[in-house]
Amino acid sequence: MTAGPWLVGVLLLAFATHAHAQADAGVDDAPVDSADAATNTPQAGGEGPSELEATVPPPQTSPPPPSAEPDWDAAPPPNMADGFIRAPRDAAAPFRWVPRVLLFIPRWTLFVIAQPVRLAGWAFERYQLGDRVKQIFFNVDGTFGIFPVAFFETGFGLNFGARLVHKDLFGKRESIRLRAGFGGRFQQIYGLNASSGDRLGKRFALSLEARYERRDKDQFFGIGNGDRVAAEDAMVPIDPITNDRAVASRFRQRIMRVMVAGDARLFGDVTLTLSGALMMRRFEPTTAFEGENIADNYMTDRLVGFANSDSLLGVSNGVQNLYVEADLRYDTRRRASHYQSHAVSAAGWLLSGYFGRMSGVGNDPSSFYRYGTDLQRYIDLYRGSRVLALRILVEATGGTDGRIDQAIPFIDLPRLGGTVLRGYSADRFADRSFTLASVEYLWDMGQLFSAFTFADTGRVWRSLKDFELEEFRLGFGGGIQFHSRDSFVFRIQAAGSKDGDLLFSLALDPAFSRRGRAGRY
Amino acid sequence: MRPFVLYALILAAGCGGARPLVDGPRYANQPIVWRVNDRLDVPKPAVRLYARTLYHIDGFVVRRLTRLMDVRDPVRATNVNALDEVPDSTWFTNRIGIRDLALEEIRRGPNRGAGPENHKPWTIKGSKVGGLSIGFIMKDAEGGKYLLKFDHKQHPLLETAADVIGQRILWACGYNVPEDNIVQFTRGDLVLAPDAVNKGTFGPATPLTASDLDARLAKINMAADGTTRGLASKFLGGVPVGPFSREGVRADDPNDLIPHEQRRELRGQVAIFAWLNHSDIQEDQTLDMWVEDPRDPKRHYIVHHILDFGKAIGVSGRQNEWQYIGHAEQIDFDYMFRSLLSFGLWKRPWEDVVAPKLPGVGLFDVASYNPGAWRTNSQYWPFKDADRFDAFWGAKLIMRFTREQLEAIVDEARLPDPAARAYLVDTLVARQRATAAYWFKRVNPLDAFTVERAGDAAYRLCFDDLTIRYDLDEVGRHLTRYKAEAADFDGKPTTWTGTAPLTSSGRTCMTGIQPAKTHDGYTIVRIWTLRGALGVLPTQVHLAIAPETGALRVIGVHRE
Repeated sequence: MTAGPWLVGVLLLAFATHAHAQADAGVDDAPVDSADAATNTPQAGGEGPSELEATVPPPQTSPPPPSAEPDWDAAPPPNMADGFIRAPRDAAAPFRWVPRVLLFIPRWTLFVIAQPVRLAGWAFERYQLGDRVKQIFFNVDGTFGIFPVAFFETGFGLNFGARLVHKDLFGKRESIRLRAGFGGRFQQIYGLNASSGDRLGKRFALSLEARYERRDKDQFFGIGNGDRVAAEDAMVPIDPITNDRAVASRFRQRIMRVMVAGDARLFGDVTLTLSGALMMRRFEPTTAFEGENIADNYMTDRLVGFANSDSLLGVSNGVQNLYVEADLRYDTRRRASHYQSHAVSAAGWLLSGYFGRMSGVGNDPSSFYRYGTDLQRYIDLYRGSRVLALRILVEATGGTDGRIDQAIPFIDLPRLGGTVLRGYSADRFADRSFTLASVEYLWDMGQLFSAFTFADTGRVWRSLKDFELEEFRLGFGGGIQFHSRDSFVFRIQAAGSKDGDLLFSLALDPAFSRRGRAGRY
Repeated sequence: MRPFVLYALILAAGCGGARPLVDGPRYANQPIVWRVNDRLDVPKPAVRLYARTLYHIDGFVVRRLTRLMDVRDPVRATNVNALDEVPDSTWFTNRIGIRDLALEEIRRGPNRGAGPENHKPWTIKGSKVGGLSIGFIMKDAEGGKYLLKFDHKQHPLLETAADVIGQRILWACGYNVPEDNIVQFTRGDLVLAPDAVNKGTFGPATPLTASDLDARLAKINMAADGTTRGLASKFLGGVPVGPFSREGVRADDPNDLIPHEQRRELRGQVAIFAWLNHSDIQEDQTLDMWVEDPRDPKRHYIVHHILDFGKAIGVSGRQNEWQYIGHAEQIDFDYMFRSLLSFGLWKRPWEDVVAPKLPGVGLFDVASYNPGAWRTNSQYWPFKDADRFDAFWGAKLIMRFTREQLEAIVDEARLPDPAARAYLVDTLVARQRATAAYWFKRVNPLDAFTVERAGDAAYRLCFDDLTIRYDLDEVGRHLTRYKAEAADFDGKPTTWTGTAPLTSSGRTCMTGIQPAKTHDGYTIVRIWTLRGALGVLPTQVHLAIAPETGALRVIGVHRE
C-alpha cells in the first residue's frame, strides 16, 4: 500500500469533516462550567430524588418499590442487572472463527499502516493545527495572508512555493495575489494577480495579471492531425510544416506576460469580456526526458517562433506579441436543485463567441486573428442530480497561412488534447483550427461526489474549409468528481482514445471550464 | 473399533450436548433490578479529547474496516435488567417508560426555576469560544450561567426550535440533557460586564466591548419590534471531562463497566433519533461531567449527558441543503457504489424529499421515512451494533408520548406560525407510529407482563400486545391470536399449553398456569403471537415463586 491513496483519503476526510464542522456551526456547543460544580442546579440523572419514586404507577411489570431515598449503594453494579444465572447461548455462527483467523494478520496490518494517518488526524485536533495555520499565515479576518504551498502534479512532479493574498484591499473585495513557485510544470514561476472586486459595482470588474514562468517540460507533438509514432519509428527529425507525424517531444519555455481583462455584464446573463495580453516567449530544447528532445525529433528551425530563440530575454527574437480579444457570452448555467453542489451545472446554456487579434511587437512577425465559439447545453435529466452536458467548441485562426508566412508562431496554434479532447495528452494536436464535440453524463453519488462518463471527438484542421467527417479523434472515459457544496475540488479521471492512449489523471479544473486565451497560449 | 461402538459414542456425544427444549437464559429468583450503582467515588479523570478528524478517519475507514475484519459475534445489550429494560444509572433515568408524565412536567422538561427570561437583565460575560456561529456567555439576574446561542440568519427559528423539541423529548425518554430555554430579549436587556472578554482559540483574551457586542448582534435575526430570539442553555454542573466514547469504556472510570456500544440506552436511541430525524450524532454531542454526590461531598462520579439537538427534526438537511439526511451517511459507500454501478438509473429513496415551506421546520417528512433504513451522518457504533431488541425498546419508549404531550413539547419551540406547529406535531405522530409499526413487527411485541393468582394453585399471566394497544396494524388486529406453552427450569415441557384470542384493549390473559415442581416453581412460558400467517419468534416469560409471598412472580423476560 502506498501513501498516495491514504493521502487522498485523509484529504477527503479532512475536507468532509471540515464541511461537517462548518455545517455544525450554530447551536452546537456544550455549555459547561467547571467552576460551578457545587453550586449549579442539579442536572437530571444523579441528584435529587429518583424519578422511580414518582407516584404515577408504571405500566411495567415489577415496578421498583418506592422508597424515600434512592439507595444507590444497595444497588448492584452495572454489569449485574440482568439477573442471569445462565446467560443466553451465543448466537454466533459456529465457523465464524475461520474468517476471524484468516483476517487476523490483515486486520492488524491495516491497523498498523493506518497509524501515521490516525496520528496526523489526532494531532490536527489536539494541537488545533488548522486554526494555528490560519493564525500563523492569515490575519484575524482571514483577508490577508502569506503562506507556503506544495502540491504534486501528475506528469510534472512536485511543486512548492509561496503565496501572498489580500482579499479585501480597500473594503470592496479588491484583491491582490502574489505567487512564487518552483518545480513541477514550472522551473520557476512568479506572478501577480489583481482584481477590482466590487469596487466598480456588480456589473463591471477589472483584472490584471503579470507572470514570469520558466517551464521545463512543455510538450509538442508536431502540427496536424497525424498519428503518433515512436521516435525510433519515425524519420527524425521531422519537418513539422510538411509532415504531421506526431512524436512525443518536450521543450523549454520562458514566458513573460502581462494581461488585463475587463468584464461587463451588459444585461441579464450577457457578459462582454475585453482582454489583452502582451507576451514575450523564448524556447529551447530540453534533454530532461530521454528521447523527447524536440531538437532531435523535429526541425525546430521550421517551427515559427522557435528558431533562433535560445538567447536570453530581451533579445528581439523568439516570440513577442500582443493579443486583444472580445468575448461575448450568454451564460445561464446553474445548478438545478439547491440540494446539489454549485459545482454541478445541471441546466442552462453557454453561448460564447470571441474574436481576437494577435500582432507582433518589435520585429516579431506575428499577425493573425483568432475566432471561435463555445456552445454548451446542460440538460437536467432528474432533479439536478443527473445531467447531460453537450458541448461544441470551434476555434480557428485567420489572416495567415499558418505555416510558412511566419505570421503565426507554433505556440499560438489552436490545440487539442488534455481537457479539450480528453483521452489524449495535453497539446497532442495543433493546427490552424479545431473542432470539438463533447457529451458528458454526470450523476450524483452523494454529498461530495459525482460520477461522470464522457466521449469527446474532434480534430485539428489546416483550414475549417477542409472540414469533413473523417479522421476525427475520439476520446472517452469516466471518473469521479469531488466537490464541496460550493465549489469544484478535483476530478479523478480515466480516459482512453480510439488510438490506444490510456491516461489516468487528477484534474484540477472542471469539465467545460472557461478557456482563457489572452496570455494563455 | 467396531462400527456400532463408534455409532454409540457419536450418539452419546450428541446426547451429552443436547439442548433443553426451551433454550435461553435462566434468571435468579429475585426482584427485578431497576437501579444500578455506578456512583462509586472516582478521582477526577483526565479530560477526554474529541478529535473530529481522527473520529471520522476511524469511523469512515480504519475502525470501520477493522470492525468488519474482527468478524465479531452479535452481542445483545448487556446492561439491561431481567425484563430487558434499562435500570437507572448515571446514564439514564426511567421516566416516560415507566410512568405517565403530566403535561406541565413534560413542558418543563429538565428545566428548573423560571428560566433566564424572567430574570433580566443579563450580564454578558464573554463571547462563545470556538465554532463559527455567534454566541455569548451570560448570567441572569439570579446568577444562573448560560450560553446564549442563535439561529443562523438565513434560517430563523430552525435550530432553536429543534433544540428545545429534541431536548424535551430526550429528557422525557430518560436521558441526561442540559436545561435549554427559548428566550426573547432586546438589546436593553443586555449588560456588558466590565470584565467581559473575547476569548479566542489561542492567545490571551481581549476585552469584549459594547461595539463588539453590537456588531455581533447585528449579524443575527432581530424582529421588527426589536426583540431577538435565542436559546439559553444552562451550564451543566460539575467538571467537564470530555465526551463519552462510541466504543469501549472509559479507562479512568471504574464505574464504567459496560462497553458503550453494548449499552441499551445508547443502542436504543437509534429508534428515537430516527423518529426525530436527528442524524447528527457523534461523540461531541455527548459530555461527561465529574460531579459531586449531593449527599456526600466527598464522593464524586461521572454523569453522562447528551447535548445539542439543534440539528434534530431534519434541521441539518434544510440548513445545509443535505437532502439525504436520515437516509444516507455523509460519505456512504453503500449508496455511492450502488449509484456508481447503476449509472444513476437507480433512484435513491430521498430524491423526492423536499422541506415544507414552513418557518422553523427542517427536512422532516413521513413519505420517505423508512425506520429500518434510517442512517446517521457518520458512523456511530452503538447504532451500528443495535439489534431489533434495542430498536424495539426505543420504539416502546417513543410510543409512550401522547399527541397532547407532543403538542406541549412543540409549543415550547414557540413557533409563530400555527401551520408549522401543526405540521411538526402531525409529522412527529406519523413518524412515531411508523417507527413503532416497523420495529413491533420484528420482535414479538408483548410487554407489561403480570402474573396473579387465578384459583388455588393456578395463575393467570397477562400482557399487552403493543401493536394492538397502539392500534398499529388494522389488518392484523382481526387475525391476531396467541399460543403459549410452558416448560420447567430444565426446559422440559409441562402439561400446560394455552391459547387466547385478542381483546380490544390489547391486554390479554392466559389462565391455568401452574408452577413447575422444581427450582422454586421455575416456569418458562413461551408465547407466540400469530397474526394470520405472520408470526415472529416467541417471547419467554420466566416465572418463579417469590419466597416472601409464596406466589409466582415474573423474574425475567427473554425475547427470542
